Amino acid sequence: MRTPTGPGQRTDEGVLRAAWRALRRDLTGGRVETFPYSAPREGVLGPEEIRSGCNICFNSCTTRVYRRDGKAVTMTGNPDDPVTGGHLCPKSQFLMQMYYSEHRLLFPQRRTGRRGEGRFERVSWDEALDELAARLSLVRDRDGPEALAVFTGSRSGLLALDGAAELFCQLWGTPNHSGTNPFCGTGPDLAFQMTQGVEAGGSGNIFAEDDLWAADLYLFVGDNMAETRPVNFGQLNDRRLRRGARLVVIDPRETATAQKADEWLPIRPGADLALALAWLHHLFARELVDRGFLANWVEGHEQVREFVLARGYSPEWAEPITEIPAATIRRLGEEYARTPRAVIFANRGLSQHSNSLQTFRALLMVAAVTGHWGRKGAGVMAITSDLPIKAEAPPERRPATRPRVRRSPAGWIEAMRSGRPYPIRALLMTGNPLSLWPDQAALREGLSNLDAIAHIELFPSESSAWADFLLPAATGIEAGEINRYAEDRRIVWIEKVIDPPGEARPDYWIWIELGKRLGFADVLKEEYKDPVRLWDEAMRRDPRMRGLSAARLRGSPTGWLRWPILTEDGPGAETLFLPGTVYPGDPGGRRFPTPSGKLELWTPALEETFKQYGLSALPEFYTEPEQLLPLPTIEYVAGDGEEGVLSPVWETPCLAGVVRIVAEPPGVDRRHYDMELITGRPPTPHFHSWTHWLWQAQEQCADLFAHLHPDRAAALGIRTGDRVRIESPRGAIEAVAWVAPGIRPSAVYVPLGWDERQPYHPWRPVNWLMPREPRCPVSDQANFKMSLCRVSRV
Amino acid sequence: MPQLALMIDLARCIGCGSCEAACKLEHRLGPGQFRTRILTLPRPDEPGRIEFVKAVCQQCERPACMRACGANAITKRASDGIVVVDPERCTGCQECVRACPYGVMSFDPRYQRADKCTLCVERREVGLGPACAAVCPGHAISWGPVEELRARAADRPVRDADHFGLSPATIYLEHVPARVPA
Repeated sequence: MRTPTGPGQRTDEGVLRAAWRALRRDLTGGRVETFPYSAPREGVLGPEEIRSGCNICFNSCTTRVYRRDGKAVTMTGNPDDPVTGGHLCPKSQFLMQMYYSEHRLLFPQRRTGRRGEGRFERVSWDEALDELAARLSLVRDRDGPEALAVFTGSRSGLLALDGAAELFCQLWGTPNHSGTNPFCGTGPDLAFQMTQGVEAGGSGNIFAEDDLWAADLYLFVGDNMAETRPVNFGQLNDRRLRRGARLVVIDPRETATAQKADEWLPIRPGADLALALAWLHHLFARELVDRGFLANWVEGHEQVREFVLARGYSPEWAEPITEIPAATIRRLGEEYARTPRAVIFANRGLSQHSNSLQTFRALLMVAAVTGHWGRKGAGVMAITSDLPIKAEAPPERRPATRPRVRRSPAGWIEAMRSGRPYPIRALLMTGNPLSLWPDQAALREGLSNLDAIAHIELFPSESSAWADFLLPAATGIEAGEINRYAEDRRIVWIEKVIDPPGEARPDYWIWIELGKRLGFADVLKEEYKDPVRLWDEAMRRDPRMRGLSAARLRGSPTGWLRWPILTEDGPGAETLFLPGTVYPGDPGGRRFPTPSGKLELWTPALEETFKQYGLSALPEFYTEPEQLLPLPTIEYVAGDGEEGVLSPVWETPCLAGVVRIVAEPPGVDRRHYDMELITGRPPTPHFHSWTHWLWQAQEQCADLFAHLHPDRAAALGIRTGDRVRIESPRGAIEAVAWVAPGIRPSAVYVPLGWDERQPYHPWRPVNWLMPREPRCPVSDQANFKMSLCRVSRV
Repeated sequence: MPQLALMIDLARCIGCGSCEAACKLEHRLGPGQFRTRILTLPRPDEPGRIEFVKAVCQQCERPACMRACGANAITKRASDGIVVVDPERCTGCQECVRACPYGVMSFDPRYQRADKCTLCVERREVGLGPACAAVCPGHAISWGPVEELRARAADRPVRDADHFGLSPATIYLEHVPARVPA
């Protein structure tokens, strides 16, 4: 077939030498990495059809898995699912290669070499867990229970994150337990929480013919849905084309989403707050607001109006910051205000910044003042990710602890390195922190200090090499679990279909077994190894989850139910916050469960909250310090390593930094670093790190690549396929150049997810270049979207 | 009998490669073996933008592969117009692979024979459509009798892909012009 042409694709057929080598092995039995190549094909589909789901990403697709003799033989989409329409992206299909991959970790191992060297010996589960428990106990006795940090990456699933691992941490007594959320969506989480009183999958809209598929205008701001939730995007784009709705994409890159758009506006990274403020300014100045909605349903709009007008946050002010012409900002603001059915999709392009929360709040204000809320076909959607499913140990079983070091694991690195504000001395981790956390050099320094590290995963990654114990995990249809977060509140039951390989076990099984050795079995019970009982008995305590029993989920013809469902047999929820409705279960009978019952843009209570961090609830403009334009930024009064303040926004006590906004950051070296680095998700075949062990994903995207604009590439003497070096003040990496239009000439884009020990195409990950600080003061969201760098040909 | 074909909508394809994955899973294809492949190419109507093009057998009226085959292993079926390779006759010489100007004849190195898209003849026999069309997240792939497909998209301009005089059957629907604000 023709030569591959896309980013990261190899131009020679040597791309799969490793896979070809495996072909010489026995293909009829045993484990081969090229499954399902040459697997028996008796009939089109297997004899047993099992309804299940994909556990990779936030699209939350339902699937049908076909089984023969206890083995999964093929999979398809679920045509009875109206949200996916039976469609599937390549990742779900690559899962077939994961179940039978020869790269899988099959038994527990103990480190025999130095940290980072990657030498291990096989041990039994009992040996591994007994020893680990003993080592952790030593750490607790010396440094206190908070000295243990636990990171539960998205791969390990919500039954671990919010169920078994959460109970483990409560019983152990460490507040330092995090999922990936502070790297992804704590900004939008808090923005919706503050504005509409609750996190409910964006503004509560759903993927349905009369709601999100029925808009006349779609504004995508920092959201590459086509490559990150391809099935959701395909469904939406199909309706959009049929109905003739406009699609405008605001993104520094012309992503696959932007390639489908009617209009692409290449905004400067980190400038979205300026765009939202300029829209607010224009809408207020021209009275393009929904007066009825403001009067009845919006609190604090006068303060916001006065603020943006007094500050002069006009489209002209925003033009040099965003590099979007003032006339375009005005025109788009007017088009949005005058289109009743208009939807904003905003995601990681906004949330992964140190101004994450204020950017989201300002954008939500734009929607609120124009009345684009609480209606079908109008809203703001973002992947928010805090489901009300947290398991709770009895209070008398939870040791008193110090507050959490920081909300974000990026803020734990300092506690590992310097022991301040108090030491973290042990880490239990899943996922691949050594690819995905920022400032890899500092992280490695921190890990070198630790007394115990365990890694629970599917494949041996760079993170595994740093662990003392490797614990083999089982996932998805090998385990039985629920989906990741779906942006429109769907919960999918992922049915167990096959047995895990070797001695691999579900993540929750591992937490239960480790807990048993520490005396937690009366709460973190043996019977929770059954995912049905873990979900039903430990995780559905919130009344909004009452109607989402495993039995109902498993019996649902669509493959999912949408929360909240307040009674056992109540109907699945649809669009929330519609006029005349009450937020499900709200005792105050409110439409929006905020203190005022209205959308809250500014209140004295919010002002008090922001003041704790040195900010105002009125969204004053600031952005990243490291960029080509000198712009207002934040400076730490108390940063990582200092106590800071007790954060008022999280349920559990947590320390946070204190900042002040300064006009221009000192010490930014624009002379040696003359380009702006953006990171993000690679093309569709990859999700974070784990798809890099699947051979077919390599055929679609093999190498770490650096997307450069042809003009800049020509000036640097770089052509597609050249090896380039990218340096930031924190480190250097190499990648293969992909020269193509569709990116700002001053920017270079490098995707996340590679690591040094991946089997096919190992590369040093881009997070060697990204900073730990500053993070968003309130949400503690790390910045993955803007760093200064320089690029040269190797 | 009608000519069956695929219809690819360039306005809908997001280049995700799900069609490649479904094809390889369905037909158990190995590394480097593709019956279909997504190409990322400059957009002819708007230089500076890119487009995603699903490369796949064109089920030509005068197939170059068929002409090139010295073993008479390639035929165009009268029943549905699909070009098929007879694995018993194929000698693995790869003349057809070189002859196809669309670059979409695949080769199975394990069994040393040409391998190609048949619009999933095995699936069609049990009442299912081609695997790629079933999964495509973008709604970019449809299939059926070519006249029916043309009628279904009568309002959409079709890209001329017949640069080689082979009368390809696969239909590529052009991009939709950008909508300007009212």
